[in-house]
Formats: sequence, structure tokens, C-alpha cells
Amino acid sequence: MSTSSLTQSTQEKLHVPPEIAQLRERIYAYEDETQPWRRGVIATQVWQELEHEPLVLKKAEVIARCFEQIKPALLPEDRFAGFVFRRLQVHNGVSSEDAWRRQIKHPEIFGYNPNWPIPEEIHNIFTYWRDHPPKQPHNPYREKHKWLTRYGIANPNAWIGGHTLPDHNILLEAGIPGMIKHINERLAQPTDDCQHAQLRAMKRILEAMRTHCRICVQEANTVAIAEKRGHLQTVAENCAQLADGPPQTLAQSLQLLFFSNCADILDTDGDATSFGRIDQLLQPFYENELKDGTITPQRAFELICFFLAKNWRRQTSNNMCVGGIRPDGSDGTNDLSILFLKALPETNISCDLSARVHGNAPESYWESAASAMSAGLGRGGIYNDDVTIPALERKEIASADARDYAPLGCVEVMIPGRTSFRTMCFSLNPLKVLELVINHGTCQVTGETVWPDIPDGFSSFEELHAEYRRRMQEVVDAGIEILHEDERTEVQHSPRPWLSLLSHGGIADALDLSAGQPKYNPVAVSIIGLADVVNALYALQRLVFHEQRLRMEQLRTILNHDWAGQPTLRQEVLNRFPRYGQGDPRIGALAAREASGFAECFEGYRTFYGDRFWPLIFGVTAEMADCHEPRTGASPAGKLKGETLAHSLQPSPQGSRGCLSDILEDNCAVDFSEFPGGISNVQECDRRFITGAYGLNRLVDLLKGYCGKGGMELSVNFLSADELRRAQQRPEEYPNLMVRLFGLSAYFVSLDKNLQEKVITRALNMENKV
Amino acid sequence: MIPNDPALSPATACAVSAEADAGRIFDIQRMSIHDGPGTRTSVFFKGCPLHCTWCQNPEGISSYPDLLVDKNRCIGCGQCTTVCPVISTDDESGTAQQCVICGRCADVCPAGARYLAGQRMSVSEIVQAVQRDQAFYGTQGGATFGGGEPLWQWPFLRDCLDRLGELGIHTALDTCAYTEESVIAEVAPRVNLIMADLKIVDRDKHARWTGVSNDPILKAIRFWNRNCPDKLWISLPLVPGIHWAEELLEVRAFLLSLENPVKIRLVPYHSVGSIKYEQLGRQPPDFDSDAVDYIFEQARNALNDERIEFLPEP
Repeated sequence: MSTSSLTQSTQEKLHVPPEIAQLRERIYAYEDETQPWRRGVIATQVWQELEHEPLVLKKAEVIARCFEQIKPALLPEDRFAGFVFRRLQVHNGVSSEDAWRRQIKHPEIFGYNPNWPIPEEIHNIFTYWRDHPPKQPHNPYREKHKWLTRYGIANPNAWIGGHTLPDHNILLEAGIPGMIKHINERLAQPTDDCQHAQLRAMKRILEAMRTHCRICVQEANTVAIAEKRGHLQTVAENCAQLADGPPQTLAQSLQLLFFSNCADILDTDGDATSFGRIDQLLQPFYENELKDGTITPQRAFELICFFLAKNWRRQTSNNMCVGGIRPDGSDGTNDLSILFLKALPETNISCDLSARVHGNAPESYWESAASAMSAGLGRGGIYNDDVTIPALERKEIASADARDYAPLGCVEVMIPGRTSFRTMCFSLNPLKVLELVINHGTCQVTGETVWPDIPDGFSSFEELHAEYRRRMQEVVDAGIEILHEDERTEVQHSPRPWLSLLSHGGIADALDLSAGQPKYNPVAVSIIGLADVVNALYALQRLVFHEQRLRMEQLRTILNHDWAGQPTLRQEVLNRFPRYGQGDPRIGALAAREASGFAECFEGYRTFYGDRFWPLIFGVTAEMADCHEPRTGASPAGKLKGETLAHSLQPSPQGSRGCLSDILEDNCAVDFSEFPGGISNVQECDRRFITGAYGLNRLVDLLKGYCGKGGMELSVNFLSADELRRAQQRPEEYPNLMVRLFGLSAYFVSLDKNLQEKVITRALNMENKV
Repeated sequence: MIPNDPALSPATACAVSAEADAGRIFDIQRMSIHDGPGTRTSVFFKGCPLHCTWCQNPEGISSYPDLLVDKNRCIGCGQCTTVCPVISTDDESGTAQQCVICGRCADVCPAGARYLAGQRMSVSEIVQAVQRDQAFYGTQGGATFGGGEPLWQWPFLRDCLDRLGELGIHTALDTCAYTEESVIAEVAPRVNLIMADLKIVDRDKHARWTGVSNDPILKAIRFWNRNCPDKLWISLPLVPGIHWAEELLEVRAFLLSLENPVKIRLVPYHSVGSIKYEQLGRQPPDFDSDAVDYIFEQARNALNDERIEFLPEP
């Protein structure tokens, strides 16, 4: 494979611009933060003024007015202009401190909350929503199958709100005026009312974005004079160019990419607005400048440093991806891949930077990817092309498209501009299914009977397992009714005019992305707590059937009493039975079988728009497994009622575990080519693993070993429990200590106490046990 | 019988242990990061001819099995008392006086509070254990044989090294170098890296703190330095109260007397092994950990020479 686009100069020492230190202090102090309520005020006005307009036009109008009316952020050190929402909450439940910012930014979804900490005159505007509370989308099948969520069996939900990866290249190639021209041409052709509204919506945003460019020109010139900063004149020139035509330089393409991402952030109440294959998007501009002699790798590196600073957020789930195979099958590693990976540790500014890897990736690229991961500055991980691309092809994705995949938000695998993606759409808790099967259909937690027709006993483990599988299929059958209805109605309550514009064929079709416009319309369906169900099945099989130490009714009694009075047996199960994460081939085989069994449940189904379901292994959700509200009872593997389930592909929090290679061995027992939706694989490791003379090489070897064994995605937390405990006690001394969670990264001190405790427990589990 | 008498000569020890058809191993640590370059699997051989006062692996000294009891993990279930004729409820969380270390209590302990150190393992089992992580070794990692003293079980070790060599797995030896001359010569071509301890240069002092003379050790280091200098790392333990300025000057003189330049590792004393002494029911060594940084600096200064290369922490 060709690696000719990787120049030697990226291997030389690169220098972080001195202004980054000052800029970092300013952004950490939120000096430039765009107040999220500004967008909320505009949304309130739009909803009042355009009450009877189609929703897609209202949404476009909000984005447009934000571009026209909200002052762009621009610090004296900045190289890029535009809004920065630095403290939006990522994922429900992760941190309550900043929850209000996300809500107030989108009152049309979240409604009014009198406790928002804003001035009274602003409150008065938002009281509109108290009198006109937003209507929540209704899905009758959710009511019909409410038992799925009531008992914590599954949480089918095909409306994720924001998890779609656009192809920003559509905009970078045409530029803002070029896109407006395309829309005008399409408007000149016949359209129905819906198509006309869709095109008007897209055009409205683009015109406002052009206005915004001109506002940025003025702002940059003003600050340039006031602060005597010559580089801001370049910012002004860049924005001026973008108002009149497509970008010509790397700086201009980064600026337009930033504006494009801003439009996405203004439209979504979600948190996963992402950039896609950023090095591939920018490479043509960089190459042109290299040829012209107007840029050097050092200069490009500096721009990337400033771009990271512009994108920094307190909690992040906004993926940027580098490296990987090109659509034509060649290696896409280029200078920018390396420069982005180097900028992360060099600037010490966190962002979700992911690295696609494959067997033929250059050695220097592996080292840069490992170095970026060891910096611990974002959720990004490595993605193994050699597994991910075949996984996509298995779901009938064309090879060229499959090779162009990128992660979005946390870990979801998508094809930029060619997928409308619904993700995290099932949260099936197999341990709960097993609990019900063991307990003749009765929920351990509520005592209510869900499946009265489950037999009292089973003559063999195989018979029990067959019943468990039948019930899992029953859960999937019910859940799919909910998913189909969610998919069908999404366009009615969540059209996405900006993302539709950046979907291939979006303008020609004049159809919203949420209405099935893109080439692929998969739904990613997730399983949680894989380790827990594997451990439970093994313990059940051994105790009741193989060794016959307990009869089924005895085990049932023990579990219904939450293991009370059975400390010896429970300790034996926890400490002496093999468990997921110890590299025992018997457990690995069970994990592989259970993961495949889950994936097979969806094989007979198609999504509402006729596409495939993409299985996904994901972390737990608060509704399903949080100890605040126990949903899952005691398990045969020693878990007590309400104890947390395993995070994604991690071992269960209870019981003993092996070393990191054991855990990765068990991970790779699963055939990940059945999981094109992604796997959210975060593991913990003692920080000493990456220190010392061989630390970086050790990590490179670990990543290569994992990929060689068929691993798909991986991110490693290098934590010290002592350091985390100190940070918990003295948060003022650790403002920038970043941890990777199942679907995002966040500053440790910003997490709720109970989540901090879970992170500390995970670190303790792996301490002195690399 | 496996010898464990420090008074035995290296030659006698090797001859006796050569009769063993399997090795006595007290631990295998995978993903090890301190025992050589890269990611490694460390195989700890049971039995050592030296009795270093500061030893961090006290369960590795005796050639016989040892029983370790982690009192913090004991849940007081009494399972151990049901299989042991000498243990009583009173010493459930400890070791009975008349314990013969049969290991049955460890077999039944549900909490994993009891651990028998010293399993018999075949060469194939060792090779299999090392191969488990082969995918993660890369070009630098591999297997490290330490202990205890791996050369104490030379015939068994030789077979392990040969088998791993055939598989292309990097091997390292972490040794006290107390062995006979034939072994010194035989091991060199079979292993990729020798990490030899140079504990104390003064002969009498060495005998006082380790129980044996250092003559064979100094001989071995000279041999490896002359014949395979690139394979040799010399590890210098730095123990407060033992390695003071005078000793460091002797170390310097010895190192500079070697034929070829040397690569050395400074290994400061740490008290992390104390917990193992407690689990064995023994008194842990009492050295002043706070003085370690001072000695470390002293050593850096005393050994500063162009013929001495300080290796960084792996």
C-alpha cells in the first residue's frame, strides 16, 4: 500500500505555538463561551413567530438566526472564529452540573425549567415553554411493550437525536456559494411542498452562514485592531473567502469545517456532532499549499493546535478520525494524520481523536496513535480496519463505502454522508432475561410476573438455554415494533436540514435525512452486560447441572434472597469459578456464543427503511443498571441485586479478573465482524505500563496484538487509583484530569460522586495487574 | 530431594536439581513491565542459593512449597478447618505451627485467601504459559526467568530456553549469577538477555548479608562481560544500611575492572515485599525506605564513568 503522502518532516520535532499556553488558560476559564441560552431565546422566538411553518423550516430558521444574531467567539490568540459551546452536558446522567446548559439551548425539546441559573428577564422569555410544553413523540408500541423497560429487560429507542455523521467534504468542495447555487438549480426543477420546504430550509442556513462569515470578518478586523494582532487579519481574509467561494487553503478549510460543525451543534440537542475523517477531508488543501510552497508541516501543525483549542469542551463526544484505508483500498495515512495525533499530547488539549489502523499502517503512525492514546486526553480510540470494513461489507455496504467509515460521537461506526444512523437502540440486558427464565418468569426486583408460562425446572442446561434464547427473541420481536415506529415518525419531530445538506444526494432528493434519504439506513442495536450473562450462565451450568450442587429451586431461593446467608458459596463463585476477563477459553467460547446469539436475533428483520440492523456492544445506561434504581436482581455469578453491570466489554465489577491481556483475549473471542455498529471497548491499565524507556513500544505492541487477534475498537485508561482519590478530595488541584468512560471522555472532577467512585473502583481493579 | 542449603556449592546444587523432571515454579506474571524490555511474561523459579536479607520474593527462597495467607481476604467460613487436621478455628486466618504445607486448605478456600507457592510444572506448561501473550510481545518483549534463582534448576531452565528459542520468543534471565562455570558458559548462547545481580562486591560482607560467597557471582559476570557483553545488564540493588559510599566505590572499581563497558540498572530497595513476609507468617525486613533516594543519587555520582551506561527503567 502506498504511504507516499507521508513526508519525513512530520517525524521531526514540531513546536507548539507559544500562544497556545495563553489560549488554553482563557478557554479553560470559559472566556469565550457562547451562552447556550442565546440559542434557546432564538428558538423561542422562532417557535412563536413561525408557529404554522413546517418543522424543518423552523429548525433551519433557528440555525440561521443564530448565525446572524449571535456574536462569534474570537479570542486575541485564536486562528478561527465561531461559536463555542464549551460546557454542554454529554450523555444524560454523566454530570448534573452542566445539565441546564443543554436544556436551555433546546427548550423546544426539554421545555421550561424555573431553576435555570439565568437572569430573570431571560427567564421571562422562556416561560413561553411553560405555557406551551413541547410535545414528546408518541409511540403506541412503547406503551404496548412497556414491560421491556419497566423490568429493565431492554430499552428499544430508535430516535437518538444527533448521531449522524455528515460528509463535510460536500461543503468543502463546493463552498457556501456553490451549495446555494446547487439548491437554486434544484429549486428550478419541479418539487412538491415537502421538497420545497426542505430546499428552502437548507438554503436559509447556507445564506445565514455566508452572513456569519461576513460578521466574522468584521469581528476579526475589530479585534485585530484593538489587540494589535496581525494574524486576525488573516482570520478575516479567510472568512471573507468563505463568504464568496470555496476554501483555498488549509486554514480556510479548517474554518469552514468549524462553521459546518457549528451548524450541526446548533441543530442538535445531542452531543455527538463529529467531523469524520478529518485528515482525508483536509489533505487536498494541505497538498496544494505544499506544492505552492505556502505551508510547511510545522505551520500546518500550528493551525491544528489552534483548531483543537477552538474545539475543546469540558466533556466531549465529538469524534475526529485520522488514518485508515482509502475508498480505493490504499493506505490513507498522511502528514495530517500524524500532525493531529501529535498535536493532542503536545498541546495537552483534550478532544476525541480516533485513529483507524490496519496491518499495513506505517510504524510511525502506530507510534503516534499510541502516544496520543497514552496522553489520556479524550475518548478516541483505535479502530481496526481489518475487522471493521469486513463487518460493514457483511451488512451489504459497498466496499468503497465501507473503507470510508468513521466513528461518530463515542464509538458508533458510520459512513459519512451515506448513513442515517440510529444508534444505541436496544440496550438489551441478557442477564435480566436469564433472571426471568431462572425465576419462572418473575422479576426478582418487583416480584411481578412477566412470563407466567416459563416452566419451574429444566431437565438440562441446554433446555434452559433454549428457553432463554426463545425469550431473548421474544424481547427482540417486541422491541422491533417500537424501533420501526420510531424510525417512521422521526422525520415528523426531528428533521435535520443541515445534515441532509451534507448527505450525498440530499439536495437532488430534496428529502430529509431522517426520512430515509441516505444510501444506508441502518439501526444499531446494542447489548449490555455481556460479561455478566456469560459469568451467570457458566455458574448456573456448573452449580445446577454439571456438579449438581444445587437444585434449581435452591438456586432460585438463594438469588431471591440476594445471596443472604451464603457467603461461602458466593465467595467460591466469585473467586474460584472462571469468569469473563481471565482468558479462560471456556468463558471466551461462551462469550462468543452469547454475542452471536444476540446478533442472530436481528438477522430475520429489516429496518423501517429496508436496511440491516447493525449489532453494537455498548456500555450500560443509567436506566438499566445503575445502583440508584436496581432493575437487575442477584445473579448466579455472585452479583447482588442492584450492583452495576459490566461496562461494555469490561469484566464484571464483581469477582476476580485477569491481566489486561486476559481481558483482551476474552474480548477477541467475540466475532466482531458481527458488530458493525461499534463496540465501545474501554479498558483500564496501570499507568506504569506506558512509562519508562519501553512504555510507548509496549502500548504499540499491545494495540497491534489486540488488532492481530481480531479486536475492533480499543481505548485504554491509564489511571492511578491514588491519583483519582486525591483528585476527588482536592478537585482544585486536578482540573484537567481526563478519564474515558464508556461513550465519552470527561474531566474526572466534573463527574457525579457515584460515577467517580466507579472509575476509582475500575482503576483499583487493574492496579498492579497490568 | 531438592537442595536448599546455602552451604552447598553451586556445582552440587545444579547436579542435584538436574534430576528433577519438572520445574518448581512459584508464580507466573503476565504483562510484566519491570523484568526486561517490552511486555513480558515473568516465570519465577522456586528456590534460591542466596538468602538476601532484603529479598522481595521471600516465597521464592525455599525450594519447597510455601503457604501464603492473606488475612484480609479471609471471610472466616471455616472451610480450611474441614480439610486440615492441624489448623484450628483460632488460627484460621493464619498458618498452624504444625502445618506441613500440603496445600489442601488453599484448594478449598472460597475467598482465595490461601495460596500455595511452588507448583511443579513441565517445560510444555511453561512454554504454553509464555505463548499466551506472544501476540503482545512485539519485537522487544518475551519471557523472563527469575525467582528465586532460575539457574538453580538449570536443566529444566535449559529446556525451557531451547523451546522458546525455537519459537523465536525473546528470553531474559534475571539471576543472582551464583552458579557453576559450565552453566555460565552454557546459558550465554541460549538466552537473549542476562540481567545479573551484583549485590555486594566485598566478599565477607556478601556472605554476611546473603549467606554465600560472591566468588562464583563475580566470575560469572566477568565471563559474560567478556564473551557476550551486549547481552549483559548488571543490576545493582541499593539497600539502605548496606550500600553506602564505600561499597559503591568497590562496585565502581569492579565494574571498571571488567574487560568491556557495562550496562547497569540501579534497583532501589522498596518495601512492597513486606506483605509477602506477613502472609508467610515471617518478620519482614526493616530497612529505611526514606533513605533510598539519597543512595540512588550517591550511586549515580559514584558510578559516573564513560564505561558505565545507566539503563533507564524499563
